[in-house]
Amino acid sequence: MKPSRLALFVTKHPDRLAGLSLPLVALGMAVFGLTSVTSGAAAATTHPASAGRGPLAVVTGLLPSPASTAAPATIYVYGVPQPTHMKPGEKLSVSALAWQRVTTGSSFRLMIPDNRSSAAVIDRRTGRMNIQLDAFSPQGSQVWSAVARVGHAAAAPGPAVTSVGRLKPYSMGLLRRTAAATHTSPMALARQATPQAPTCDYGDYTYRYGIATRIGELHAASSNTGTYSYTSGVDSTFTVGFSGNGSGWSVDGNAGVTHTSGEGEAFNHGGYYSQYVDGKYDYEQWLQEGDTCQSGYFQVGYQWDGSAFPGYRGAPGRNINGQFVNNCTSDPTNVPLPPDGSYAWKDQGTSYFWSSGISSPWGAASFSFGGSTGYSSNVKLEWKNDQSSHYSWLCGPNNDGEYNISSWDRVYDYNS
Amino acid sequence: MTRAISGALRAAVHGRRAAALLCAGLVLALVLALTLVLAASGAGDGGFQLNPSGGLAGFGNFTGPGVPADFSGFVGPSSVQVTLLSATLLPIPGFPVPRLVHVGVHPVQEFGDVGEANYWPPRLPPLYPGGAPITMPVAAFHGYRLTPGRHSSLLIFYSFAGSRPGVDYFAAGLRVTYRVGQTDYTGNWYAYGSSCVTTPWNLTLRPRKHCSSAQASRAVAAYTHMAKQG
Repeated sequence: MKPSRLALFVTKHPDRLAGLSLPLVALGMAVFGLTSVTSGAAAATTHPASAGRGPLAVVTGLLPSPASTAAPATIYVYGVPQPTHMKPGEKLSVSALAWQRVTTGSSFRLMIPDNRSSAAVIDRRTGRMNIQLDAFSPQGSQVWSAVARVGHAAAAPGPAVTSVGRLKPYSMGLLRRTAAATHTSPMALARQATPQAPTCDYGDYTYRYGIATRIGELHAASSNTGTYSYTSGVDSTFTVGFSGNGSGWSVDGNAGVTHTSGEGEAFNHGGYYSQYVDGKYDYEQWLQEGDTCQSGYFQVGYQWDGSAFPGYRGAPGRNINGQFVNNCTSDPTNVPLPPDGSYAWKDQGTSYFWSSGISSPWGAASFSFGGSTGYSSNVKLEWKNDQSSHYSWLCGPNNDGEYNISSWDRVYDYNS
Repeated sequence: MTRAISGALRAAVHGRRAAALLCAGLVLALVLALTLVLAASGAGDGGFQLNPSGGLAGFGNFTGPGVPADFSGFVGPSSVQVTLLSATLLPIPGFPVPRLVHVGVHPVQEFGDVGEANYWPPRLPPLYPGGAPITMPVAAFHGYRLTPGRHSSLLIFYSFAGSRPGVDYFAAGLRVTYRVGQTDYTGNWYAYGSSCVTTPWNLTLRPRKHCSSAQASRAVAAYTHMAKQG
């Protein structure tokens, strides 16, 4: 059986996820564990990798020999995607992370490289990775297979795992590294040596840091106070830019960014306030080429610094029958907020769709980020009516017939 | 020898019976435990989704000592007819717990999600100086029947009272018992409410002796965690 059989899940563009998961894993993960693998007479152990730019993991073991005489074989290690890497309806393909020519009955030593392909199959939440080992004869028949979980704190993901160990913490600095030229990358060498090994190579990385990016919007009536705050564990969704040749960019799917550390930031404002809320994000652009991935240039935001501040542009008012109005009293779903300190809050917010609102950090020649940018399930919006006699009114989109403030993605706060 | 073999076989058969009984007992216990867990979760028992989908929201206001402070929320859809039976206050652990004094049902009419009010039936201050207070009509909670479908314009109001001025009282919602067919279910219905007790206080005389905003923030965080846990 060909190694490509092990392309268990395929995403439309699997490798862009690597750029996202890498920093997130670096932020959220303290230490990886490791596992040992045994299958029949074979035993494989993952070891702590060396510091610096060494491999992410080293898998050693003994390839069993089904016959009395040793036979040549090639052993591959694959990263098995975690379900969290996939969006509904998407599939994810994997390529061999490393390979080695061995003979049956002899030991092997496979180094899982510290690169995007490896990072793409690390579970963002747990910092763990499942790997699959497969050995093939020169004729293409499978002679051995085993599964191991790297970074798992306890044994037992499968019958082959017998013990646990440690891996090095993922290095944030590696994200900044410019990838090796395609023809000298380990994966390219692997492909030259073994044409059947599916690969995807990455290069031409460039970065833009601290780019103000829309993450929501805040509306507050006169003399009222509106507060926009992020709690820890914030998710944002970005559109992904794609170009086959580096020009003529188009929006191609979404990718998620999660900020899991810190408390996030908050700001409040009052007095006829209607403004987008921005946060600072880091963006990256890269070129990918290979057998199992879509070739071309990609751009995406991959990291948020936790900030939230008033954005550069004003946000539109409430859309009632196609008209943007700053008056919730004409909205039949309005929510009264009586004077003298009454307050309301909700824990989700997004910004109005504004397709041309967020330009690519790489300039006007590129495309516009937008669409679902700004959604967060951990934002907290709060309105407090500090007036002594006037009501404040909250209202929101009512396209689905809901009167419930918690179901509104945007909430407007205006005086009567 | 033959006797020994037949004895061993009997023992094996009995052993299987015992194992089967044990398995059946375990399955029964598991089903019972699962039923209890589901009954306690309020996640949609008997075809009724007690809590609406979407995010969380909450309201806060001021009130006088012993004066009812009212808070509301929506319920989720049901695929069957549901009869509301009873409710008790759902406190937020670690925060001042008020006394539940009223529960009622209010179909949305003049306004949308009226999240907070005072007195009972719930009242809002006049829209304009010199106007009349706004009263929200409420139906009895006990025995109220929800027809199958969405209940997007049906608010449940609960009303609590606190006695000590300067204290902010908090509630996470209600623990609701309802009936579907012949079966009663109990689950947590989440609708955050907080009320700072001040004095003197009435609908038009509303001195703002603020309670701790830091405490309120902590209560919201605790409530959010609690509600997301179900």
